[in-house]
Amino acid sequence: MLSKKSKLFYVVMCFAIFFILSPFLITVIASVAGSNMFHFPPEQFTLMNYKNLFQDEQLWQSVWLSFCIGVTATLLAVTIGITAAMGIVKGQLPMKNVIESFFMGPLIVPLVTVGISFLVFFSTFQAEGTIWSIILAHSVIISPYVTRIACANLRQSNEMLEEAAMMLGAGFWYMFRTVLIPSMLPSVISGAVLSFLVSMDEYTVTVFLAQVNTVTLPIRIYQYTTIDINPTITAFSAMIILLSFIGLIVLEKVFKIHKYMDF
Amino acid sequence: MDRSDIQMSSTISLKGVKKLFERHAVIEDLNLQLKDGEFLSLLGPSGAGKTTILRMIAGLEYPDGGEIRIKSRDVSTVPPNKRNLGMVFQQYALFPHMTVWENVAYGLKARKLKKEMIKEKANKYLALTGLSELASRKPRELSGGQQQRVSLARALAIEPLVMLFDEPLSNLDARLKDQMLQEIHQLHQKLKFTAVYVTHDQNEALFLSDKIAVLNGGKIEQFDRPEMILSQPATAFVADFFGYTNTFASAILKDEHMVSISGVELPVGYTTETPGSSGIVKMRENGVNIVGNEEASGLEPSKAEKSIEAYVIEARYLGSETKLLLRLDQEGEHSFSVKIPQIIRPLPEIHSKINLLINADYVTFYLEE
Repeated sequence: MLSKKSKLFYVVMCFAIFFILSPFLITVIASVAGSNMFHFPPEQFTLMNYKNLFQDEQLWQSVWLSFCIGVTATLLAVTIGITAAMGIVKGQLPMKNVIESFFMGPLIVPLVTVGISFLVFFSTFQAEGTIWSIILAHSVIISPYVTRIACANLRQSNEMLEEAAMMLGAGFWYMFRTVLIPSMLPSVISGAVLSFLVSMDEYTVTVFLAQVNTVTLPIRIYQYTTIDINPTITAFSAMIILLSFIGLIVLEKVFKIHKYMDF
Repeated sequence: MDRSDIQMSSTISLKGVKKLFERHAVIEDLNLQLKDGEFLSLLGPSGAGKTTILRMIAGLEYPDGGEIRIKSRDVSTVPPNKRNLGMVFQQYALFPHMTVWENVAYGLKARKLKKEMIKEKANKYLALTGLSELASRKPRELSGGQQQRVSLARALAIEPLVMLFDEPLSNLDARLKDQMLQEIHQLHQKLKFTAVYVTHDQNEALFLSDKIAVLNGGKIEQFDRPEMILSQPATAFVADFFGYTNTFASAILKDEHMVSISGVELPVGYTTETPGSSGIVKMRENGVNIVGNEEASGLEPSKAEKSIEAYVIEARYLGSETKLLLRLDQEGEHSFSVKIPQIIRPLPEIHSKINLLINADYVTFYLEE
């Protein structure tokens, strides 16, 4: 680490921050641009895009769809994550490392491959394009986030508390409910929030599965910028940017999410 | 009383208990019997296997051989939640997300007792341990001593068959330790529970116990009442653990009351060996006085005392005592240290010769190990 930071360090840092943030800035400016949204700088300003945004039913349907998929997939991922972590950390299983890697797999396998696999898989049941196929696919992709956090939490947890509970007459399930779950809850919630956001954001896999009546939000946004160009999307993006910043600040304040960001 | 009678009347009975760790036996053929209401301490240095024995009684580990009976029921492979034992942990092990009251009520709730019953018992044991005022606090708001008292109340509340203690005081400072020691003793007097207490501190063991099992390398060196262990330590290891810190090697037992070390004769208070055998002598640091100093120190010279000559290597004050480092003869290697329970003025000069009164009660003889 640099103990005494040079001027150059700050120059590079400012440049990096600008480089990262400038697209957001341009999007916000584009959302109030009167003419072509791909033209920068804009020649006139208008709130037309914001007005259209709240009347665009198609878009809001996609938001609702993605929200429902996100919530359901997250609930599934939390169930998978906690049970997987219990097995990996507390279970007496052979080859625990292999099992843990298996549950981390969706983070490692390229998403395009995952998408094709799910398409082939669900086609055999004629289930591609259904909302449940997308939910299942998402829960597989996002479960590593919960599994990882739940594993870390269980590894640090004080085994003596479990022993104390058992000595006091608690069976496994009573102990699990009254001791382990409450101690895991804060980190599992932050893992679940992260999972939910990944699901809301998922494009690569979903695009293989989505059909006319299951166009999720990221796919809709992509359509608005390529196939069926619609400047409403710049207003939508600006709103997401704003919400994301608020969300990040709240999450960091409440859950200290930076602790889980190093993977 | 024959063997089976002893078996019947004991609350805890360990028979031929064995425990392996990575195929290596850490406990082998361990036998122990404890009667109802007795307080047993398992005493030994770290690695002596005392915690392993406690955990096997608790059910947190299962023996690899032999059997463990509690109230004549074979519990060798019964899980801990089905044994009805109370345990106090070294690191308290309180549930951090529950209040003091919820911690104490935990075992009662797990037993699905009626609400009024839970309330009554939790409040009773909170009162007994002086915690009623703190019932709604969280563990992190309490001091170490208070936390350990919650842990004690929580274990007592389930009214267990046996109370198990795993070095409960080793995280407390000296003053609190004394206070908790008193409290545990008083609770035992009042409630008459059967207890197994693991410690490496002989003072705790002596203060609390009806019986002490001194452990070394997974084996019981001596299992007896505190006064017997103090006056008749069975092995050199036990003697060393209970303050017989001086060791004289290559000693020869002349008769039951006399031992010779390089020609110097010492009185012996306790030995089980036959005259003529050679071995080691263990001697306490105290129980020694300088000839001519008896009156001043208030110690009555007794028949068991014998006067010997010794040479001063070093003499220092230690609190209200005088500590002397001595040797038996001028050039010999038999050095030893003694504490005279008085401030001697002036300090004996280095290399000078002094006459010492040795009390036989503080000298023991063992065969070479």
